[in-house]
Amino acid sequence: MGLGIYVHIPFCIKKCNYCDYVSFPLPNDKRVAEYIMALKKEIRLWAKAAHGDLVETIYIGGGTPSLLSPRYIQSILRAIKRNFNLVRDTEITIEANPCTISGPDVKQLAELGINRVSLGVQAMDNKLLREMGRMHDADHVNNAVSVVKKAGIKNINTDLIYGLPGQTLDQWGETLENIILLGVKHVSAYGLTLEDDTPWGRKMSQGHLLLPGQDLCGEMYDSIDRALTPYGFEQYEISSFSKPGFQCKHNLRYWLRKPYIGIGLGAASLYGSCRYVNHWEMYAYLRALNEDRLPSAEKEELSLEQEMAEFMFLGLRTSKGVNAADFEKNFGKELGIIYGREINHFKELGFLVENNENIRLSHRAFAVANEIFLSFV
Amino acid sequence: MKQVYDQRKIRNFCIIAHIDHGKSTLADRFLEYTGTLEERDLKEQVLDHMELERERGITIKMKAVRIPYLAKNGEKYILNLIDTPGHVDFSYEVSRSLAACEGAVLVVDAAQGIEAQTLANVYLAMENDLEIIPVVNKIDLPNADPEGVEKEIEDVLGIEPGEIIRASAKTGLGVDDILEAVVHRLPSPKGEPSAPLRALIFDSMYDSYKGAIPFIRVKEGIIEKGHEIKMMSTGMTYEVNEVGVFTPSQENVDKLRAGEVGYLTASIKNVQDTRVGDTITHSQVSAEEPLPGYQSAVPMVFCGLFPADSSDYINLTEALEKLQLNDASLIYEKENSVALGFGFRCGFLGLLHMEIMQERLEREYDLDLITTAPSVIYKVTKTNGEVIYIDNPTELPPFTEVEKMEEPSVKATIMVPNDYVGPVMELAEDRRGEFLNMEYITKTRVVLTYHLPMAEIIYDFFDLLKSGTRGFASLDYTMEGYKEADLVKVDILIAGEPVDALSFIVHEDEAHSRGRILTERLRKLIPRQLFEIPIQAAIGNKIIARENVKALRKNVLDKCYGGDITRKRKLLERQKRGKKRMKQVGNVEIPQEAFMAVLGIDE
Repeated sequence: MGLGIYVHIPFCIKKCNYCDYVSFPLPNDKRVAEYIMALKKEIRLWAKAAHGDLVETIYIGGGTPSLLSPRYIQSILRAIKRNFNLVRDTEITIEANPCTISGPDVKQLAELGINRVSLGVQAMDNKLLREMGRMHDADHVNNAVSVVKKAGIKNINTDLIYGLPGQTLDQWGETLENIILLGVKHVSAYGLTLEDDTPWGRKMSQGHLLLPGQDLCGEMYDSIDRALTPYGFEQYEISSFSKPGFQCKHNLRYWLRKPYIGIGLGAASLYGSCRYVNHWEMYAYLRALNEDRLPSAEKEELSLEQEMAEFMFLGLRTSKGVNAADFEKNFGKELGIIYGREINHFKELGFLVENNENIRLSHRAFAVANEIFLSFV
Repeated sequence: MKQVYDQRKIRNFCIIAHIDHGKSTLADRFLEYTGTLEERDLKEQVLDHMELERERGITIKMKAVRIPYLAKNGEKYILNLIDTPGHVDFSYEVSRSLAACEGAVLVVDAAQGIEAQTLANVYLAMENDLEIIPVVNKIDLPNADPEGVEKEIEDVLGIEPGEIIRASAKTGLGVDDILEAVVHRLPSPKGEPSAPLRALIFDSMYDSYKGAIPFIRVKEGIIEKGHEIKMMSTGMTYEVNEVGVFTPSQENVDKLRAGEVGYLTASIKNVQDTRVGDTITHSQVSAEEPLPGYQSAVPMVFCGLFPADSSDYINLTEALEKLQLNDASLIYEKENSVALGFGFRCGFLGLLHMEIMQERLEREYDLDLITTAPSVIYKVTKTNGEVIYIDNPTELPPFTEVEKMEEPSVKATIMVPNDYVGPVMELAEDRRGEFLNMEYITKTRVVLTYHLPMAEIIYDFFDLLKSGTRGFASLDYTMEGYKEADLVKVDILIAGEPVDALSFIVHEDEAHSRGRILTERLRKLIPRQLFEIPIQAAIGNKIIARENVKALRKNVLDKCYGGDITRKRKLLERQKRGKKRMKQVGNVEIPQEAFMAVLGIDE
């Protein structure tokens, strides 16, 4: 089965207006060092449980991991290598903010074995970027991509957000064109979703934020595939597009329910048939590790029903879809018996496509996938 | 309780007042002034028991209280204050409580003047030969106009100038004058204690230990524990377990004699057996004639009540059973709707009664209800000559089998400041009103009389009347019988499927506009789904309005939350729970609010 490791670096220079991830301003160096120590402790504790699993992917996310000095990254990766065995071509990703990435740093990171960089680009429109509360502009992005390429890292992703306040279809199209010109291998595009406890979320609930409606968002979503396909991108998941061979192996683990462990504040794991989520509060996280305990705040033993539901609503996110034989192998039950009614219903409506033993979302189903997923939970 | 019986020292009276004109406050002052209750015992407005009554400022169920009063002449009197409901829905109940009294205190707000319902109730009191003591209340208010209101009372009711008492129930001013007037102006009850028993039931309540408890006014004869009694309308007999009076809590007494007011218990199973207006007599030595005026409760407004969550059906059944124990005028029977599942068709005295019952079901029994549009009872003559009465649009036979339709009509009395006569007339005419009369009762106040279809009143007439006159207009109505009208049934089709719970009967001329309004509202209320949903209004096979709910364009959670799938799953589960609360008609999920779209007027 192999193993994926996610490492969460919760530090940012400042929080963006829409962000609800676990993150806060970069503290003093002592605090950072303390956190890195805790991460390493957590890695050791997990290694006891997941002894012998081969690590296939590592993903250092945040927050803004690129804020950390490369020696901290080195320290984390060392801890992983000391406690786990890695496959030869392990995918190692780091997330970076286009304005906190420097040539020398990237070079060091590349030397540490990092072979994939995910840039939080969001948009290529400076006005929109400013309104989002981002620190960077389009020039930073161009510069970041060339710096990463120069360091020898080919596998570059850009994260994009559409459906921004006041954003038009044309503006979104321009962002996509600019991204294509950058020559990156991977694009992740997410529709803006706002939680209440963010500056924009509050503004929205007060009615002060003019967001594109679902029709426009639907147009924007459809335009991604249309814009990227001619340049050799393939959509392999609801929000993921890549050149052949550059799918994100780490993220695919989430959708294919392959085991992964989350290290760090608020990080999530799937191991055995359990899901874990770590403490969100730093003090609780640090205390648990001080006491040599895994810092999970929630542990959920999934029932067979929940596992089957997850298999469906996660697997169907990928363009390959789910496989009936895999289902039966995993759960000892026939897919048709468990979900035949739902599958037929959506097949008739044209939202699911069955091909041999594979069932996948039809093209137009991607934009409304939740409606289909609902019937499996 | 030791009490010397002296019929000449008894006064039975009620208070007639418009909502908010101060009836409950005045009743409290009586209790306080006479020492019946200490101030600390007075939860504000003792006579209004139910939480809901206090909130709406409306007395729903009558109560009665015995007030011992030492008058200024040194004599002790027993004053029985009988509370009356103040709303038009309950006019029969009002008439029965008036029949239990010899007099009435008429309370009029010094700033507002007489309102239509007050007037209707005063006329009712006068018909029952009650002595009226007019009181102008709230004279302490800055905008009070006691002279003007006194003039109005004199003009409208033909009352002599010197008879009106000025008071402020809030401050206690004039309360003693009112009590003295009750003693000296109202007659004492008549009626032979030695005659065969005749006791009028003017209200009842249900107690889970003692059963249904009728509240009675003994007109003739004596009643006491151990007596065998008979309900004259049904012939049912019971043995009296207990007689008592309200102080205002229930207190045992030995006997109740002609002229007295109190209650009895007799292990009566339910309130249907203690009908308001019925006469109680002895089963052995019976009175020859019952007291006049008895009518069985006639529901005028019907609607379907369905549990939002179909698993609540049993709970709704139990709640209705319990409510009916307390309220004999509530009737219900099972109804099965294609769209809403199992529920009940319920009949109410009027719109307010309906709203109060719905609120009690939701509040006291914690039920989440879907209510269908209220309907009156239509009289349908079929082509084969058969006449049927229907209270549910779904029962209407196909129009090819309908010879003619008739709807209940009311005579509506509207009191309004003359500035608003124009808008009110416009509204009445727009709602198919037939003008009868217009009369200036003072220089600035007008009484308009119209024939109006009852269906218009329960749809939105009352709300529009209030909003169109800034709340100044008041309305009273009495049933006038049936009138032929060009009525049609409008069906609503969602994705081609008729939704029975949304059908309604309406006048032909209004069918198109009402169909348009409803389809438009439904378009806004029904969430977009995976396919386009046509919403149509139709008369028979003819489509009269159409709207479309566009297909859902985007619903996808694409953030990946660092693999926090639990969060994704919970979100899906939440969305799914939301869907479960919706009703499924064919492939379409319809939210509960959509079924309420037929109710009421535009926001």
